[in-house]
Amino acid sequence: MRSRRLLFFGLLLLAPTSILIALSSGSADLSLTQLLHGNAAQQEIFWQLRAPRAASAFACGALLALSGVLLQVLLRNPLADPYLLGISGGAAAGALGAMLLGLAAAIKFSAFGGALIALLLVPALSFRRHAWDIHHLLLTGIALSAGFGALISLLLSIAPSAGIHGMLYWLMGDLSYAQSPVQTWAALLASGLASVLLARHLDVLAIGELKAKSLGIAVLPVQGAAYLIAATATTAAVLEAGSIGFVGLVVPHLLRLLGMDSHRWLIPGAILLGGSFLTLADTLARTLVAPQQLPVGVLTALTGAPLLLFLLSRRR
Amino acid sequence: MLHSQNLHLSVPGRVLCQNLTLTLEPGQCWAILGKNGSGKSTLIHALSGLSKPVSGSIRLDGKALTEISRRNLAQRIGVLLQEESASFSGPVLDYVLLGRFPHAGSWRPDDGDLEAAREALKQTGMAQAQSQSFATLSGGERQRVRIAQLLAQEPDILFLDEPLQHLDLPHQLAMMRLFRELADSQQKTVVMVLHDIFWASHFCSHALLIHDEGKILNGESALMISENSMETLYQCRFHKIETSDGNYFLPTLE
Repeated sequence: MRSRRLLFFGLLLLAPTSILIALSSGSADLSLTQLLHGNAAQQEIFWQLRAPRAASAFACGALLALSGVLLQVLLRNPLADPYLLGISGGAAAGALGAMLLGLAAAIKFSAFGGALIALLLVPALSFRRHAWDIHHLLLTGIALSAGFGALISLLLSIAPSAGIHGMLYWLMGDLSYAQSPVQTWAALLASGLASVLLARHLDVLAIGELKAKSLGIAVLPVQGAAYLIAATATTAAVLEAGSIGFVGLVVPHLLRLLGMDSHRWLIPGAILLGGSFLTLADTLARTLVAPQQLPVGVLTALTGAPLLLFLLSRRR
Repeated sequence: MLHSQNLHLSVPGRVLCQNLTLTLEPGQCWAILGKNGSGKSTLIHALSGLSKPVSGSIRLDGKALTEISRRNLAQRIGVLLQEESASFSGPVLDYVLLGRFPHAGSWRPDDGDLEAAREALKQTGMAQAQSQSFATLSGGERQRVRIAQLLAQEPDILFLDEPLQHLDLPHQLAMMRLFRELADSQQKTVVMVLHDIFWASHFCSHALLIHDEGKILNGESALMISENSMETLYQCRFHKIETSDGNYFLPTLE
């Protein structure tokens, strides 16, 4: 109990620290006082470039981690991931299609359309005989993801070579085009609040659907709410930053291993750790080979994959 | 009081229960006996409102189960399932506290919830393990913690599907004493699926026998449980061993 509080306190400190590090590092080395009271050029770097990007990074990381937590309960699989249900595949196919047609202004809109198709299709196809078959939900999501994957490969293979670079960055996940921190934060606030309210229900649902029913949970509405929140969170993150991998998988898993089992702790914990993790990863992506930028999705996967392998090797 | 009228249950291809009219009253302790696959769990799921019967009605104090909200139902009826599909990785006390969900007022357990959970763990002899991880418990210990979760729920009617599984004999005895005590001193209704005829005849006031083709007999256990009725029910021959504590039935080896 005490260690759980201590860990949570650590996460509370980590979040602002990660944002401060993101704000003060970059190709122009600025101290905090320069950021706040500097000349016009320094002010512009701060307000136009770093602050929105750090804000987007934190919100996207938090959304992905939150979505991971919810899907891991819903699918009863500790290794479930926000991208398992085809939402990111749908969004990517939509975005790439718009890029291929040269409709730069419609990329986000088209990505949203693709995400929406996946978001509605997957539960509709897994609903059978007035009940939600969760195993079927997982399989439908995987099948749809595979279909979108093929579509994405097709789009890449017929795209003119000049456009491929932008497409790849979208697929790998990249925050350099992040433009709408306000919308992303709004999605984070709404989905974070809704899932905290659902926390105790999720704790009960996690021990099995039938047992949860016997303990007074209206199983289907709770599952539906968890799915909707997770889908909204994933969509918001993918629209802002493309398909950044491993945050939604590793962060909740790591917190569970550290003893945060109850969703009252796990949900806020995942928001803080996911946000901090992506903010720091994005700072590295900006500065590691500056002035070149790396897609942050590559960094999260490069750090996330070994971390996940390590966690898996510790599982009994 | 739980009352079922003309209850009809089936699984695809098989009728499990036909026209069952049954009244479960406070203070009664019921044993459900029958062969594997005879429909004991299905009956418990239907009577507790977890699944809908093919036809017939089930009423709790005169009100149809389908008209009672999940939460209100969980305050009155609790179920120990035979199996749990998911695992739990937190400490034992947190697991038992989940049983308090139907009574939860706020978003976190309060002192009353903690007290009920600790008392339930004490009753099943698992108080010393409260901060241990649930996943590290043995099968029998886990079963006692699951029973504690049901006790913490404090329902008026307790359905227990094979509550003695994984338990050693002294703990089986302790749990049977506890269940009987709930019926006797707290006027709870206890309904459990058992496979041990001695426990059923000694600790249960009533018995319900599920035969093939949905034929169900029920009544006071002293009248229901005899060498003849058990041989018909299980379709095997029994030795009857008379002791000062009562009669034991053991299958003959032929």
